[in-house]
Amino acid sequence: MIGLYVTVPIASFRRGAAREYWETLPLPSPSTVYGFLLSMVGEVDRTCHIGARCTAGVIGHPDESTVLRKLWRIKDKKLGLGNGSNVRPDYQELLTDVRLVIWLDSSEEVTESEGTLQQRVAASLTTDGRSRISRFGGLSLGESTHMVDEVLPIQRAPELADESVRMFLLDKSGNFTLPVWVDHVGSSGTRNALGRLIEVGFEPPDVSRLPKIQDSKVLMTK
Amino acid sequence: MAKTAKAKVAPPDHLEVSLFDPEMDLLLRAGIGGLATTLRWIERSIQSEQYDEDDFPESWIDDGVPWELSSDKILFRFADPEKVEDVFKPIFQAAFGLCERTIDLQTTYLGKQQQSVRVNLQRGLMLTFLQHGKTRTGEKKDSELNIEIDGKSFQFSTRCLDWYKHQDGYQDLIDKKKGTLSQKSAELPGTLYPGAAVRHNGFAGQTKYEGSVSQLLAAYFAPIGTLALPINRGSAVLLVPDVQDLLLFADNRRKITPSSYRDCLIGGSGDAVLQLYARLRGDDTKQRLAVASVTAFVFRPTAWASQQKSRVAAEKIEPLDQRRLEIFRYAKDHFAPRKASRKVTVKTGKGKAAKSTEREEFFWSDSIVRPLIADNLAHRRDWFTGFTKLFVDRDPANGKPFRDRLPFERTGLIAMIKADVWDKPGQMALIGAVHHALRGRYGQIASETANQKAAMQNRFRGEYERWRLAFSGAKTADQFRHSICDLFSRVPANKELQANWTEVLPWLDESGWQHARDLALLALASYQGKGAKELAAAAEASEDADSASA
Repeated sequence: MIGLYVTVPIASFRRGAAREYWETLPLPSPSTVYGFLLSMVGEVDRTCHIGARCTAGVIGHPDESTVLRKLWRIKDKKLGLGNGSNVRPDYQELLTDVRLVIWLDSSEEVTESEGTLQQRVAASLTTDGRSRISRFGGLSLGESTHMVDEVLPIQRAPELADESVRMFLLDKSGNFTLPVWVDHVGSSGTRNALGRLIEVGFEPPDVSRLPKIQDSKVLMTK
Repeated sequence: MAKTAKAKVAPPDHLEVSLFDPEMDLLLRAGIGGLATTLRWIERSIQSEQYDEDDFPESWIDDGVPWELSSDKILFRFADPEKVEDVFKPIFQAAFGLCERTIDLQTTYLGKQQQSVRVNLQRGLMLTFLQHGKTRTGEKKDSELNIEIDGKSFQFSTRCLDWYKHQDGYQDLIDKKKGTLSQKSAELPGTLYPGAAVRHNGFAGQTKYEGSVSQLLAAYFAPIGTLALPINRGSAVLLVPDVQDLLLFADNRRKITPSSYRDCLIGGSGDAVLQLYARLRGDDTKQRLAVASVTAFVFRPTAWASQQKSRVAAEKIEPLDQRRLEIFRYAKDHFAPRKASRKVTVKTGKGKAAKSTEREEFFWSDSIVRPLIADNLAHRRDWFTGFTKLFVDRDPANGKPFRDRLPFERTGLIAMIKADVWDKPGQMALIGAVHHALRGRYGQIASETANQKAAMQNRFRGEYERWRLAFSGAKTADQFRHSICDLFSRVPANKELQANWTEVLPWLDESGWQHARDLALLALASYQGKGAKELAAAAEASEDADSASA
């Protein structure tokens, strides 16, 4: 298992069902974390590391604010993206000064052609490994404009001993569902994990309580 | 090549709806709670033999109901998997009814529901779940309705309905050709899941919000598990409890429904949630309803979608601690909705036969201070935080300034200030110091304009406006300090300030000046002219002038 300390100055982790008021989750979902890690190692195939377990925990309580912003939606297929009626304003909740702890475990990954995600992430944190990564643009967490400020192995993170972390961990009678796989076309293929936000320290959590990234097809045939 | 016959798959003979299914989110879990509430209600009706013969199938009465209800799931068993309608139709009919052409959710209250409450709850539903005209049939315009409350006739406007979508919801759960339980994923439109719209209308088929049959069933019962209350004619709050135990929730759901029209009146999301907690006796919420929190979604028209009520805010509010609960109790007592009346002239006939008759019409006027206090307490802020907004903002419902209604809140404000609501040193002293200074200023004016009533009233009003503008217009700590020191300097021997200046001083620094500004304006709004006769008359004149301008 590998732990990362990640900071994002401004972020919004939108709830799937929040379609006209872009409500934010308090922390990124496992599917968002997985996408972030794939982007970090330069992987473009999202099925490449299915079986990885990952989750995020938020340090402290980031400030929340609501902004009115321009969004695009396709109402008229003949018009270009973001033109005319394909634009509308809406409210969006933002989090500022987001500090996260991310845990990743690759012991149950299906394919290991280029090494596990855990190995690739660990390599990307070294100077030598970073130079071998081929990726696009800046590193974001959530929306593409929400750029990550720093990513550090948790051992090298600044003094964290006094901080509290609210981490999303699996719980069979939990009250919080977060997606582990998102259907970007409709929503019927989206799959969630049930858990709870639990106050923990900076020690690695029990692997069995980390949400597992699974393709919806795999889940449906189970 | 010979055709191979498809193997016939047996239709499902049961359906399990689990509270802890990962695909069930907050609203859908509340919907499962609503379903459990309905099933529990049917079970009780059968046990107590309080039902009509046509209400439920005979087999339910003789052999028992076709479901098992436990704290975390509901299991439906279909004796005939090709007649699933026989199970769901009576359940939907019990849950979604009409009474006097108004929506009647009979499983959510005990005894008989007042018509005024039913009318108000229907408005809440029509501003959230049942916004679209196609989701209901009935009259296309509101009708005026006179309902007697405590011997006085109150006028309400309501939409008379003959049908709404939820009544026939069971049909969407069934495969219409075979009569079996549908196996396909279904759309969860805004009618069932307010706020979950199609993402891209140009690709509506691909980007609609979808769910399984159990999610659809939960979504249909969301109006039972949640509570929708109107804030005014154009906006509403949808309260979604975080259901943790179906049996506890089903037994206690009716407690969150307002029992009188007065209880239906809310001023915002915080107010709505705290009143809900108050109905559950606040501190016992977790045990009584098994909810960890209540999330309030606000729906109102926006400038870019004025034809519909969009989701514009969401707030998760947890039960209050004892101290905040105590402060909210004071707020509820001192800022309760009050009955008011107005004279209405009605013209009948034409020409020489025209007659004008005047009648008194009663209505409820709600407080503007209680919603502010509730929002502050819900967000763990000082109860008076943002009082300045009541001097600056306008009521979105009618565009009139909130400050015009403050004179009617004066009695409540005075009682609130005198109550045990102050936790930090210097807050009460600052209010006392402003009161003292105002009393001195009014006294000076009264002595300078003796025997000139009109001039006195004008100067009193001018003095009030002067400090209102000085405090509410202060945008920096320096501006506010200048204003309040200006007021203090005009009146000698401010005993309140002299005794407590070390406690008051920190409120004037860079970090506390906004709190001090709220307190100063709270003092201005709650000032009552005590002492000389002239001063009392001036206070009344000032209040009359404010009322007249309102």
